[in-house]
Amino acid sequence: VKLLVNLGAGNKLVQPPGPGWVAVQHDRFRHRPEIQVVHDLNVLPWPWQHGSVSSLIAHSVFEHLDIPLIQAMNEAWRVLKPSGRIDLKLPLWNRARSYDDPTHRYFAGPHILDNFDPTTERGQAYGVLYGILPWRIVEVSSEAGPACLRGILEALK
Amino acid sequence: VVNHDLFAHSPEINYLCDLNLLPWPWADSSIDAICSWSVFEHLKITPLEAFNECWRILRPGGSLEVKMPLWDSDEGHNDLTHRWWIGHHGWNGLDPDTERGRDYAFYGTKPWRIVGQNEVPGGSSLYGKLEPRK
Repeated sequence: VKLLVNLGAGNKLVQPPGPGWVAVQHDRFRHRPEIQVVHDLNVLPWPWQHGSVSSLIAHSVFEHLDIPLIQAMNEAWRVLKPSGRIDLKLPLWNRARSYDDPTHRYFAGPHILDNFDPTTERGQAYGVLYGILPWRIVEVSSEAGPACLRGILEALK
Repeated sequence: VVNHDLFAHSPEINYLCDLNLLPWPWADSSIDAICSWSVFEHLKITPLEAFNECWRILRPGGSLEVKMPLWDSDEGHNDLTHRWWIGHHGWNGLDPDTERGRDYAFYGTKPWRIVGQNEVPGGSSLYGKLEPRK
């Protein structure tokens, strides 16, 4: 059985993507009954075993954390299976909507995810220096929503 | 009137504490009016935590006047100690009468009523006047 974890679900619950999948809704506290796993993502490790998760949804969640994006991504890498994917949304720095939320701690430039892929110029320059675990960018878009950068990355492990 | 700051940099400052440390040293519902002029953007706690703490210490019918730097102003990015910037409708999430206030109530936001929300002349900051719903 394949596990999909919806990190910081908020009110956006996800369904299992197909037969043979289980979807788990996570959040910081149980603000609605569908939330199954409660954990503060600032506290490492997250409550999943190494290589146990097939797919992570992290829509509009990492910008709320005290830990830096690199640390959150490294922890996501740890819990994912080889070739497991993370589907990520971050608020873009140059959209007014990104600043309407008083709990956003940082904002993304359009190429910020390059840092996580060692085949990009930025990933080559900063990956090892910053202690970033390696990913492959599957797709990135700045037009996926009114204010967000969306990326799908695959854990290289 | 109590003039608070982090340290006594001028003689008028008559109350010292670090607002990053919660709870702040005022009792629940003990204050009539708070003036928070260009303060929250310097704190390590989130503005939401600061608003919730103001809500706690204000009495019913009290008011908070607040100013924070707008996200798209140069001036707001010239101060090396700024940690937070706000959108032009930045207080909406605090008021359950707005769409954002309803959608994001699960953050644990204390409810406010927005009395005023506008750009400070010059365009570098957002002003707000808010009343706690309690």
